[in-house]
Order: sequence, then structure tokens, then C-alpha cells
Amino acid sequence: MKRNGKLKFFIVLALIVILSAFNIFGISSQWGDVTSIYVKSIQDINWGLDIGGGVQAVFAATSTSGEEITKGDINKTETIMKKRLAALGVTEYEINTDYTNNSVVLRFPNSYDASETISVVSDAGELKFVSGTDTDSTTGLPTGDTIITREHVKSAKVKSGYADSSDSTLYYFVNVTLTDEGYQLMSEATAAMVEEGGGTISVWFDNTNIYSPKIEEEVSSGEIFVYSITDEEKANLLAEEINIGQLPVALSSSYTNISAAFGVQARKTIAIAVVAILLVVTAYIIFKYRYLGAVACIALLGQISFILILITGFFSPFPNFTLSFPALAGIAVSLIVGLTYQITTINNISEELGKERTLAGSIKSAQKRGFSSVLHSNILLILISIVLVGLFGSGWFSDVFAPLTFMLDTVTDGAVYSFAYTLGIGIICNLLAIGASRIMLSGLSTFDRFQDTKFYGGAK
Amino acid sequence: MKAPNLTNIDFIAKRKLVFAIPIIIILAGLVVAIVFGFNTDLKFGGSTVIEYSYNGDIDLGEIKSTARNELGTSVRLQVSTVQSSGSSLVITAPGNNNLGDKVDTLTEKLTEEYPDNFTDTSVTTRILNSQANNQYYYRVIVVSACVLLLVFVYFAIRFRKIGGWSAGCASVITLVHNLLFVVAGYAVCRLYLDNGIIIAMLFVLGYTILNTMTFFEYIRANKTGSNKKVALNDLVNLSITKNSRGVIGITAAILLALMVLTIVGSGTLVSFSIATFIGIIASAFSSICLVGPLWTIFRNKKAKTK
Repeated sequence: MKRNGKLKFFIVLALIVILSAFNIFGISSQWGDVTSIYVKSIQDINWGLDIGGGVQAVFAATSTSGEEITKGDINKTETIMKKRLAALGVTEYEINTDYTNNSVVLRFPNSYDASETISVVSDAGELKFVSGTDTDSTTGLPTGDTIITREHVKSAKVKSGYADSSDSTLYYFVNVTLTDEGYQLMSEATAAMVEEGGGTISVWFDNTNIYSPKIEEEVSSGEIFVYSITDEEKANLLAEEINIGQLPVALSSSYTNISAAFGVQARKTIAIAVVAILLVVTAYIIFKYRYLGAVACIALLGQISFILILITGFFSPFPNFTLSFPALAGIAVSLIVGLTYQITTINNISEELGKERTLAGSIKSAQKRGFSSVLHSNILLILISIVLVGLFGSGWFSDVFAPLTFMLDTVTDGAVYSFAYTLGIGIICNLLAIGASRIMLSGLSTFDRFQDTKFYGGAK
Repeated sequence: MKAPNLTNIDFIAKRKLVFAIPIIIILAGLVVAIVFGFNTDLKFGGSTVIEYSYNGDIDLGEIKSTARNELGTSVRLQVSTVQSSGSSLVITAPGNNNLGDKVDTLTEKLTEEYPDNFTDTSVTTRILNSQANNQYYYRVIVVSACVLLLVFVYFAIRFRKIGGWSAGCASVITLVHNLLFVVAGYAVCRLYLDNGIIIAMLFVLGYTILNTMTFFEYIRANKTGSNKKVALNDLVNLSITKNSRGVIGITAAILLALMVLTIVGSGTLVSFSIATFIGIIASAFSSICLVGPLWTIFRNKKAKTK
């Protein structure tokens, strides 16, 4: 038993040291020219707009109808852009309208694909069904009559299935549901084609022909298939773009790289601040709580390592997260929760020792009491972070909360989202750190050197 | 550093004094907020962005103080680069009021002081509107309501055996009290309102929940653990005393960390630290002096109506 405790103490200590080393130096393998990174080192972390800078894109609006651009047009453009960013999973960004230049300024961190984000955001989002497949030889645009446009589409959705029974590739089909008027226009047009002995309709999205079905019979349902692809993400994106709608103006974009909002030296400042804070707080805890404080600090170091590993995308269910200042603050709060457990337990131990219990018994009962008091803070904070991620982020979490916000426009707030996300992750890791400190403390109490209760805050 | 001995303080008896202090401070903060308003930044109040293209290396620190003097407000400096066509300097000043002539004098000054760097006098000025529109505030209201409700319900269920509703009410009031301190801090210290206030409020929210939860856990443990006929007031005073040991230790650690951040950081980091500093002190104060007496008031009221 005694030996067992010592062994466990050193195993946990070694694990924490190894994890911390992984986080600082990273793990990667090199195979020829290809480097695969398994654990990101501190150098490879994706920094947020405030700490690491990013991309600044300026979208200048030009009128498509020939009428002057109003503030309403710019506001509508901004709203559509926000919805598209949410569909792309871009949560951390700054978007501002500028009425004086009729433009929208978007900034986002480097962790997002700049050219994809900018092109999706500035897409016209125009959907049209044109009769015939003829195109203009110089512009490549369709020359046939437009049958229906986005106005005649109620909604779009994605279904999956197989193209035919012999092919085992799973396809994703984008279907649109037409309005009554749209359905009428389509059935009239297809009926006319059938009468003439068949024809073709081409479906265009943003000047790209996505599908050209041959018409052999009249359209008989309000739901029409428009696109198929094996890439689920692309199918979803197209459906989302159709649902979100068309921009009221045409946009021309230009983009530049922009340095961190916290200043050119932001990364250095944050690094100095983090190191200084860790040193000062560790020194304070060890000074105040001595050996138990040191164990607490090691457990917290373990918590930091767990958090960094989960946030940098080592385990696939946890995506590679962008670390901004709000995200760091979320981690800090989860560390405070961890610290509270440690200090409550330390205080409990000295209290239990006062009741003249044995050392091992006091530690055990103090840990139990400390855990029960911190457990419910953990659960409540996780619930709060789920609510915040759901209501200020995008993706399936926010779909869960959609009934609460159906009256509201899409609004994401990268700061709240990042904070809540890292807080949630941090609290999960906190439970691991509590486990680590339990093993270490009970291990410590089996050492011959640490038998005296004065090490644990007992009477001297 | 030793935790002060709080065993002999009767927190319940002193509650009138204890309630008066925060109410006066919060009211003073709100008066300042209403009379003088907030200093707003990009996120809440819009901003003016001035872009100059430049060549070579420039001393951002010097230019920052020049820009601050000429524009008469705090500024944020960023460098924007395009691979093909060099760099430009992006100066962001809070507020979307037209700076007008001030921009021209700044341009003159820059071309005069740094003739080698600023050869191109063409300036792009953008007047950016605030990111927070009505829809944003609607959502903030919905989210705040959800969070407060969640806190209330969770405390009510968790502590149902020791007067759940009373615990729920006391913790929600404590939470709102602490958050108002952060807002008052931003108003009184004339800090620029940006992401910092959101993070500060979330930070204080997390810490407050932790403190309040720990306090009620002490009440629960002391009530079930000791003689059940202990008077309510003694029970609360004992729990406060036990809780305060941990609270004081942790609060000191957080305040140390925030002081370090204030010294090392600048801009948003500093305003965040100052406001959080105030909020954390309020949180420590409320978990020692406020939540217990509040809980007894609600409990006694309930007992009377029964």
C-alpha cells in the first residue's frame, strides 16, 4: 500500500511533466517533405484576431439595379454576411458597416481559410432556372428565358442517398421547395417543353451551371432536385446559401493581412503576462500553503496541459480552437475553479486534523468534502457555457437553442463563444486535475518524510 | 498573510450597513453612467479608421503618441500588409463622429515628421458603425434571462432541503450585484467599452457562482453535520466564517494576477483588469457579507408567511 502510493504519486507527476513538455515543444513527425503535427507546440497555436492578427477584407457595394444604395441595403448585406459566416462555422470575426464608403469591413483570424471565406461571403447568392442550356460565348452566362428565381423558392434542404442501385457512393442531394407561384411557373414551362417534344432546363447558382435536367414530363411536385455531390459540407453550404438568400448589392472584395488588435507586440505581451501571472500566483500559493500548495500547483499545471491538448485539436471531436483573449479568460476561470477545489481541500485538511483524525483519514474526508462543494459549481458552469455557446455561436449547439431565438436574427459573438467554449473544456479538464491531485496527495501522505501533520496545516 | 479572524463578527446583525454600502456605490456608478455615458469603442460605439500607406520601418510607439495628440483621443494602431504592394498603417479611433480636419492635420504632421516613410498623402477614411445593433442587444437580453433563470433553478433544486427558493433568490441578487459593479467600474473609471466588459462580466459571473455555491454547500454541510437546532443566524455566521478562509485566499491570488496583467498589458487588457478587479472584490465582499444575510431574510419571510 505504502509503496503503491509512492508509485502513483510519481506516475501522476511524470505524466503531468510529460504532457506539459508536449504542449511546449509539440509532437510531430516528418516523412519526406510532409510534417504531420500530432500535438501543437506553443508556436503552432492558432491565435485570435486580438492576439495574432488576421485578415481584413473590405467589401465595396455596387448597385445591381441602377438605383442608389441605401443604408438599408448595407445593413441587409451585413446581416446576410453574418448568416453565411455562421453557416461556414466562422465564429470569431469583427464586422462593421461603413455608410460613407458603402462598404462592409470584415476581419477574421488567420485560422480560417481566407479565400474561401471571402468568396462565400461575397457570393451574390443568386439562384435561377433558365430554359435551355445555351450560353453567351463571351460571358459564359445563360441566354435562355429565366423561368423562376430565388424569389420563387421557399427553402432548400439536403438529403442523402445513392444515385443508383449499382453505385455504393453516398451522394448528398440539394432539393428546393418552391412557392405556389414558383410551382405554377415551373409546371407551365415544363408542360410547354413536353408538348414540343422535350427540352432542357439549366439551374444556375451565381453564374455557375449546377444542374441541367432533361425535361421529359411536366413537373408534378413543389420539391425540385437541383444539385448532387459526394461532399456533405458543400451540399450543406449550398442549401444554406439558398436559404439565406440573395445579397441586395454586388460586392467587390479586396483583402490584406492585418496585425493584432492588441498591438504589433501582442503575442509577446500575452506571453509575458501569462508567464508572469503563473509565476506570481504559484509563488503566492506555495508561500501560503507550503507543500500542499505545491501539489495544488502541479495539479493546476496538469489542468492547463489537458486544456491545451483538447483545444489544439489533438482529439478529433474537439476542433482546433482559436485562442483569443476571451478564450484565455475562459481558461483562467476554469483554473480558478480548480484552485478553489485545491484551497478548499487544503483548508479542510487542517480542519479535519484538528478533529484528531489520522492523516490518511483526514485527507480522504477533506477531499470528499472539497469535491462535493466544487462539483456543483462545475456542473452549473458547464450548463451556463452550453447556453452561451448555443446562443452566441453557430453549429448544432445553436440549433438546439433555435426555438428560444426564432424571433431574432443570427447574431454570433466571438468573444462570448470563445470564453464559454474554453470554460467548458477547462472545467472538464478540472475534473481530471482533481483526480490527479487526489492521487498525489494520498501518495504524499505515504512518504516517510511527510508523515508529520505540520506539513498539512495541522497543529505544530 | 493570515486570514483575519471573522468568528466573532455577527454578519446578520450588521446587515443594514452591509446592504447600504454596495447600493450607494452602484447608484453612484449608474449616475455617472447616465450623466457622462460610457466611452465606447469599435464594438459598441463604432469607430473611425484611417489608413495610410507607408514605406520602410516606422516607430509605432512614436506615431501612436503623435496620433493620440492630433486626434485628441485614444487610438489603436495596426499594420496591414499586402504581399504585392507594401504596408499600410491602420489607425482606429473610437467613436464614429467625423474627425474631419483633425485627419488632415495628422496627415500633414506625419508627412512632415516622417518624410521618408509617408510619401503618399492619400488617406482612406472609414467611418465604421458599431457592431452591436438592436438585434445584438435583444439577444443579450434573452441570453442574460436564460443564464439568470438557469442559476436560479439550479440553486433552487440543489439546495431544496435548505430553502431552495431563498437560495435561488439570494444567489441571483448577489450575481446581479457583482455584475453591476463591473458596469459601474467601467463608467466611473471612464474605461473604453469593448470586448473587455463582456469578458470581465463573464469572469465575475464564473467567480460569483463558485463563491455562492461554496457558501451554500457550507450551510448544507453545517446544517446536516451539526446539531439541527442551531439557530439560523449562528449557522449563517459559522458558514460565512468557514467560507471566508477559502474566499480570501483565492481572491488574493486572482487580484495578484490582475495586477500583473495591468502592469504588463495595455488597452483592453488594462481596462479588463481594472473592471474585473472591482468585480472580484465585489464578489468576495458579497460572498462574505451579502449572500448569507440575504438568504436569512428570504428564509425568515417564508417562515413568517407559513
